[in-house]
Amino acid sequence: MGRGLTTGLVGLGLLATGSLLQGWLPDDDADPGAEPHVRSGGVGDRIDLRTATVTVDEVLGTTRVEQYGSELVSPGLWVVVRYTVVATEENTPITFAELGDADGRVWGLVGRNANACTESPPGLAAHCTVFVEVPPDALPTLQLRLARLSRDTRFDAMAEIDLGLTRADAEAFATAPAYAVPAPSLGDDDLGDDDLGDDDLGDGEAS
Amino acid sequence: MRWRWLLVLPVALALVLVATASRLQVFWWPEQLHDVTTGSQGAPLEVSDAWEDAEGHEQRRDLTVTLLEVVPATQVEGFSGPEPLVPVAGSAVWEVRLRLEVDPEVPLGGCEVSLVDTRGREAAAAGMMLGESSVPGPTCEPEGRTGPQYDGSRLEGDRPRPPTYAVSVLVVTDDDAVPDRVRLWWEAPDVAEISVRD
Repeated sequence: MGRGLTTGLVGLGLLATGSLLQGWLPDDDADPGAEPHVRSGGVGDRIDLRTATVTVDEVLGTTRVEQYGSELVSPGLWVVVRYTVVATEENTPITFAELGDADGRVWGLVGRNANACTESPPGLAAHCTVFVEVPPDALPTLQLRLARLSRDTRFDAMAEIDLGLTRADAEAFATAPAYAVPAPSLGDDDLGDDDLGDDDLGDGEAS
Repeated sequence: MRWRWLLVLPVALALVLVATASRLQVFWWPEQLHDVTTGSQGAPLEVSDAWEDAEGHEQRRDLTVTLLEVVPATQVEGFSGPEPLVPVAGSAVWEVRLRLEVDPEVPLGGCEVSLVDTRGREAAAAGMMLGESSVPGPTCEPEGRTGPQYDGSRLEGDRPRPPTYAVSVLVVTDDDAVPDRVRLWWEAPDVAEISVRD
């Protein structure tokens, strides 16, 4: 009788341990070793992604952006980030971009959000623009993540840039004029859209 | 003598590594340009390239390529003929001139060309806007004289491709890049690598 009880208890113990392990160990789809290697920085920092360096040049915001002659009006805010990519060894386009906030919310390149960037040869700067619509309350903790491949970020380096925006920026962005998204361009000192009046925009660049 | 079985361990480990090495094949090795045929500028180079067609049959093309020259490009093909290339700060545009000798019935669509500089940086030919100029992507067939497509069809209005012809491919690089070799390929792993004469 006592022996049966012991066997039962040991059996139950083993089952409980197995079930705990089952819950704790990564499942078949999880691949923690494949997580992207995150390199953090702020606006203006040159971040090394191994295959390229990226630098956020400017952060802007508005409720209306214009691209290809049509105006996109957001019920929230468009956060527009202008950044520079310099490929290291081979032509490297940056195609992965997403914004995230401290609550774990993520806004990727879906719907009307877009990343206007071009492939560029090593050493030659490409000037790119990403615009994503977010709720205004996300601005104070907003971060931009950039990586090489939108379809696959596993094992690769990923830049995480604190955009340094504040509640005051959210208010300024709400009344900023429409922003015409420049086409991506190449060249060392060409920022492209000097005549588009982006100086009038709420400028959220960290100071 | 009970520890002797430990000797099996390294052998077993080696066997495990060899057995799992097949995964390298599956994932990335066939995508790499590792089957290199090297040559130098001015000398005809015989190149062979294999690919798999839509039905999964192995196909092969053999051609002779000669790197004629790599010179700074001065113009691009615009909508209405050649347009001067307006320089953009920090960039350089090279014209890679190649002569190809190949059976007119061999498809040559989708060729890739890159320019490797003396620092080992590889700039690939790709369609891109450089300032006001639209730099075209690489093509290895003469304008209006293309061979068959991969499905056997032909572009309407095009005349047959001559057996020998020269093409120019434009490559955008950093302005301090010094061309060292030209790479030409269709399907990995085959690639022709031709060094540029100083």
